[in-house]
Amino acid sequence: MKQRGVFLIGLILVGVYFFLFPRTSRSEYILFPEKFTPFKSAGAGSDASDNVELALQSGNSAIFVDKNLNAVFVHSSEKMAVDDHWLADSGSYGLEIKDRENRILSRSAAEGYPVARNGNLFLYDGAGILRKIRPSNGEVLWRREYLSPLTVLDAVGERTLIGLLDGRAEIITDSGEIILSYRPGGSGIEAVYGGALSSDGSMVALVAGVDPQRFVLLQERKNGFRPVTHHDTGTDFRRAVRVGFVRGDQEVLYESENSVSSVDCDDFSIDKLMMEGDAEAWSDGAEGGELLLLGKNLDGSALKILTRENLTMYNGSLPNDTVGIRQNGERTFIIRPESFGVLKAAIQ
Amino acid sequence: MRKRVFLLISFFLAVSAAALCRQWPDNPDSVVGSLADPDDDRFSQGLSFRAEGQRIGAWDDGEVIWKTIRRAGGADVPGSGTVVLEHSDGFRSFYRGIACRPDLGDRVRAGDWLGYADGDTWTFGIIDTERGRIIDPLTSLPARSGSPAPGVSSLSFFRGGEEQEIRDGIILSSGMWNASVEPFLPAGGTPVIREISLYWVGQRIAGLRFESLVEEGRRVMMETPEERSFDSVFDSSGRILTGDFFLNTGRGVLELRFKDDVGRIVSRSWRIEVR
Repeated sequence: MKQRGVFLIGLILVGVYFFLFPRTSRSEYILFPEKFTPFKSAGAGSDASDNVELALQSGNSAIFVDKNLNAVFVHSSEKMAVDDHWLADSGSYGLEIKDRENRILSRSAAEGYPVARNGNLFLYDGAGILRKIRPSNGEVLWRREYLSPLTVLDAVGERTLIGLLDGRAEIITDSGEIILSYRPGGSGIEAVYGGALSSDGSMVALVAGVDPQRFVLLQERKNGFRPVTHHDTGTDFRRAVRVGFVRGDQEVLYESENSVSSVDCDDFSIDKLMMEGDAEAWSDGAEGGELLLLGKNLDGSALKILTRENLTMYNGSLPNDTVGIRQNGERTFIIRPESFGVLKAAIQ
Repeated sequence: MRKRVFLLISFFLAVSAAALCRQWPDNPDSVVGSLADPDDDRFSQGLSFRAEGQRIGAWDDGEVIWKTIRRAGGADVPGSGTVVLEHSDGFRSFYRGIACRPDLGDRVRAGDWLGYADGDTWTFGIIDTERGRIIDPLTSLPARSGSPAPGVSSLSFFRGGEEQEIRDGIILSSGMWNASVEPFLPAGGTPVIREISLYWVGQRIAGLRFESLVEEGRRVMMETPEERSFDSVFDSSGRILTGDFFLNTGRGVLELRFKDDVGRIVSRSWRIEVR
């Protein structure tokens, strides 16, 4: 009897130890810089444009890099948009589009602010006129003029999402047809502050209104887009709010105060992902479902990496002037005003 | 009866107080353009001011509902810095082309500092959200003083490929015409033309009022009061088009009248014959 009691207590203690105390291998997930490249003209490193891997933009500078992360060419301009395959630059001469081999694809007289969204190119004049432009030849696919300030611009394939300060959200196809015209409503002040399209264009996420500010998710059904979930965000932003679909459109993220809110696109559950400061950027390129969050506050920049289950893998500081992050395969790019770095992960 | 008079007086006092509290967001002498002026291939959406880094103030009491925040990685929304205020009665005022004050709060009083004028010019506009229009800001601001009156530089009639510059003694054929007007804008201030009218032997035959801008389909139209597109209000040289009108036969005075923002009427006339 006594022996059985001792055995049972021992079993309970083992259970408590197993479930309550962390099972650690004393290993630690660390990130270390693999490469540092300044935004400077191509050197002898590479001139083989076929090797161009991707483009990175930081403010008024853009750099195209090869597979070995050497600069292929660098471009600077006040009004510029960059995609992995082309670059659009607007100046007093008009709009010039170049391919990633630095060859001119087209030139036109139109002026404005070029915007790149998932391979799509737009030219916004800053005062109401938005044009969608085919990057390969500069052809204007459609032109629209708005009275209200533009607050959201996102595009996937042939679909473009437009949000306006007067509270409207529209989806326009490349033929110029409006397939969604929606007003989220439900707030004291009507305005759209943030929005994004899913990767197949079948879902739209919006953050709209003040008093209260609300999140709305629309999904495309047989008879058009229908709101499937909405909630008050508890925020009071009066500026552009970051919104984006991640993890294969399984989740949609939007900015909150010192956190990022994650909404599951299937069961619509909401998760708050706490972080240091405001969400400056996020990226989810890794196949394992990891999510990288770049936070910024007065103390500096911080990177947080979450597992697919939103458990913290890494939480550390970055250089104060970090302006963006990008995940590309196994590489994590840290973008700074005049340079970019590549981080590599290891278990030590 | 007394109650009615009291209510009427109270109403006018309230309206006057509201009007008084509205302020010019910048120096009225810095105006360089007005609503619906040609701006490349579209109508200007508000009053344009010369930008010299000066402070910009709020037009009226209101709530800040939009401010462009420049993030280090580049702006999320393309365009120049903009602040938008929500006011009572469904009005919103926008201040485009300004560097927003970093510590701008959510509520402002008329005249409060919003930011600095940025670039070469900046634009102030008023949106009537209930009617979905951009209205002429000059109708909601204290009257300007000291601006010179506009004049008429030239008037031409045209139809098809035919164009006739109007001068005394000219003989025209009757029928449908359109007219293009080139105003004369003297230096030393920017006169703002609000209405153009064309009279033939005392009868108004054509004209337009620069009232408000409205979104129609894929573009912005001007209400004159009928909706007209940019191409039907301005020709490629920026001359103002009156729209089509019928010119009857006769001999007499053709008169062109401008009305400016302070209500002054300027006219020029020609003696012509129509056969």
